[in-house]
Amino acid sequence: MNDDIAFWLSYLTNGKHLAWYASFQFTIFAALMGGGLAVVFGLTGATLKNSRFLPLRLIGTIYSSIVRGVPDVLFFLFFPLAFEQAVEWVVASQICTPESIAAQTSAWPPCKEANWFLGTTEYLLLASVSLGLVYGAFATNVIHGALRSVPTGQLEAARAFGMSPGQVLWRIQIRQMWVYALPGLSNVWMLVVKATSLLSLLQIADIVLWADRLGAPNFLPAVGLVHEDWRWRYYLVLFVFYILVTWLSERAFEAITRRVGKGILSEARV
Amino acid sequence: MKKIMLAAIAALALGGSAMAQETVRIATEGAYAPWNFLDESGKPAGYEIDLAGAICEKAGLTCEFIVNDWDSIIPNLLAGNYDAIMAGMSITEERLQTINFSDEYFPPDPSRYVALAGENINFEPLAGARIGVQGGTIQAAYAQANLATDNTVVSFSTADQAVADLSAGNLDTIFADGAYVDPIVSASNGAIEYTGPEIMIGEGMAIGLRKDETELTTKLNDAIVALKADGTVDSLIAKWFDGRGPYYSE
Amino acid sequence: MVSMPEAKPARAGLSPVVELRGLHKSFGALEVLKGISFTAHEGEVISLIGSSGSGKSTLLRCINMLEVPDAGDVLIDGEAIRLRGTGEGRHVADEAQIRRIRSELGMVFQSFNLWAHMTILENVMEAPLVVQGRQRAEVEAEARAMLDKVGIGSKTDAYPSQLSGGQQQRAAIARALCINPRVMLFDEPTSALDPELEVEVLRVIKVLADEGRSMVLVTHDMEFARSVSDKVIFLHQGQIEEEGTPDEVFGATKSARLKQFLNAASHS
Repeated sequence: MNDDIAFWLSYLTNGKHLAWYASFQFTIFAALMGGGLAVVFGLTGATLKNSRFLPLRLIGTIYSSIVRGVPDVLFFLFFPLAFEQAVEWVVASQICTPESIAAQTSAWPPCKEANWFLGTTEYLLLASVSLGLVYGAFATNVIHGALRSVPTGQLEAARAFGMSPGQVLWRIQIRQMWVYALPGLSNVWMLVVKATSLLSLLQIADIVLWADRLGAPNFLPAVGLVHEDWRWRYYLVLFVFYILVTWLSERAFEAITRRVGKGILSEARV
Repeated sequence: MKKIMLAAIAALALGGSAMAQETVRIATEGAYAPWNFLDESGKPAGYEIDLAGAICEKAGLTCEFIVNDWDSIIPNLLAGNYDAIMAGMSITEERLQTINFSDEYFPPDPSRYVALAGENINFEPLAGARIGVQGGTIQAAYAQANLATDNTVVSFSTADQAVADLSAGNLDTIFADGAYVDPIVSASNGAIEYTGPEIMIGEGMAIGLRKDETELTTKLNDAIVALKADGTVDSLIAKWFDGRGPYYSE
Repeated sequence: MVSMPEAKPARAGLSPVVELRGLHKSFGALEVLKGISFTAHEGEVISLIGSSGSGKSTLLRCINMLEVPDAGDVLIDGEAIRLRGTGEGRHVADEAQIRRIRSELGMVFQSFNLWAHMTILENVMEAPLVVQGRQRAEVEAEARAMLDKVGIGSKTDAYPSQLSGGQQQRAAIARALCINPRVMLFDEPTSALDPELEVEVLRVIKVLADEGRSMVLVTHDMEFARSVSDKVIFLHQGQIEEEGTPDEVFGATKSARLKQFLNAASHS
């Protein structure tokens, strides 16, 4: 019995498992950064959509309607690749010489010097930006609706007291918008969290990839513990992790709602 | 980008001698024991990792392994994310169109069918079967060309997923490198057994390289030739593949 | 708190504070203002009365350009608000000018329009701090004094939703006072209130009138208009039907329409 416990303790703390535990940081980072960017893009998109100028309004509308329709997996694959090639194209136009272009044998990039090596950090940032862009389109709609839910009389009062359009937007409309946006944004946040399970598509050794590796059946003692297909056990841990994140998120959103809802949600008389 | 430029400047400044200290980045899958796998500490290990150590030492190179999924392992080589592939990759005509190979370091080996014990699969001809392969392998190409019309060929991103699906009863048979399924058959205590014919495909396994890396290719080939002659390759094959060989030394 | 004197002292000053010249305003096919002119002098209290739809609220909102008139000019302290374009496309030409002028006009709305996410004190301090860029300590002292003056000095840290309608409207008056306005604009300040809460708000407005503040007031309360005004303007279908001192308008009514209106108002 004690031997069993000792065995499992040491098995579950071997380098492979420690690498798995460490990989949770990628998921958490991508979720927080992706979620944060989604709000930034959402605020930008909603502000554009509310703009008085037709071209800006069109940009906001096109962004929210088109990007919302693109499957997240597709965007996840498309955006980092397109971004990488765009950067390489720009760099190539600056540094490639006729000699270096002649020396290049593969089709891309134009010369070897222009190659941009993407490691885990770069992919993680690009993945976060992708998440931000995709879910920012959803956040745009949520925030746009929430901005409109702020009573117009209060905006009019702000204008009547001499506030500039920017001050009205920032000091009155956006401050009050959160209370109406939070239910929708909490949904968007859960979508972002779920989409972090796609990180392995970008060569990031994330929690899903490690769960696959650790759970894969092993027949060779030389490789390590011989076991059959254990992936479901590792996936179960991921389930629990995501459920935990959901639960924590709900608590957090409740707390935030209480905070930003001060004066707007409480109806009690003093 | 900055790093690449610095490396380029350093290479210019130090001239030819810089080559000796340069790090060669080698990609492997890390999921194809005994060629390559991740050991308990999470680091790449296996025949190819041992062999790479010997080759790099012989060639005076510093080598480092990068783990990369099988299905993107050639595109990422071409993109310059690493310099070489050692991932149980067989030399084929198709691959030679995009990349180069070093001399082989593992001999041509018949591909084998395996199935759960007691499944009597009729191979004269093979029809109506669900056949598991790892996508992008020589076996997958063979199955697509010769078996796909009468059977269902199911492609997996790693070989062990195919084995897991066979054990779960979702597949009738798996078609894979003989030396890959060998230890699985023997470790299964009779639950998984060989079936059907042995089929020779592929021309041995070798290091995959970009076509323009002629200097590196030459260096690696010189080292491989020397290690074959002094018995190192054979002893590593024997160590990792249950006493197989010798193939290359007297 | 405040006494309500029966008769109001005469006190019309000299210099014009608000001057409207030939205002026209349409909403689509509906012409709401059909050429309205009047002048409010320093220290004068002007009441706009009339049935709903007579254009009195629209007229008030034209003073600070919450509605932009299709034609005509608005002058504050002799300075014309610059507008550009014609008809329904007419708009404010100089954003900086209108913001400066608005920050000198204290507006009180029918539905209070306090900012819900700020405490009462923050509501009152917002415009002086953000728009006028004044010192926080000075503004806070003044804001507290204003809230004391309107009788809700104990509610400074409450949020608007925690107050009664009458308390909210008094806070809104304090908010308008705290910008030291040249003119106070009241848009039906008691219409949204229960009768028993109306009194406390009217009392505050009366005090301000007695202090000699310039005010333009839209109201449906004829008795109040009579007691507080220097001049009463009766609007009918977008035009000034009758104007004069309270005694002239209420005591010696000339227009048949105004008579009818006053009759209906006193029976409601």
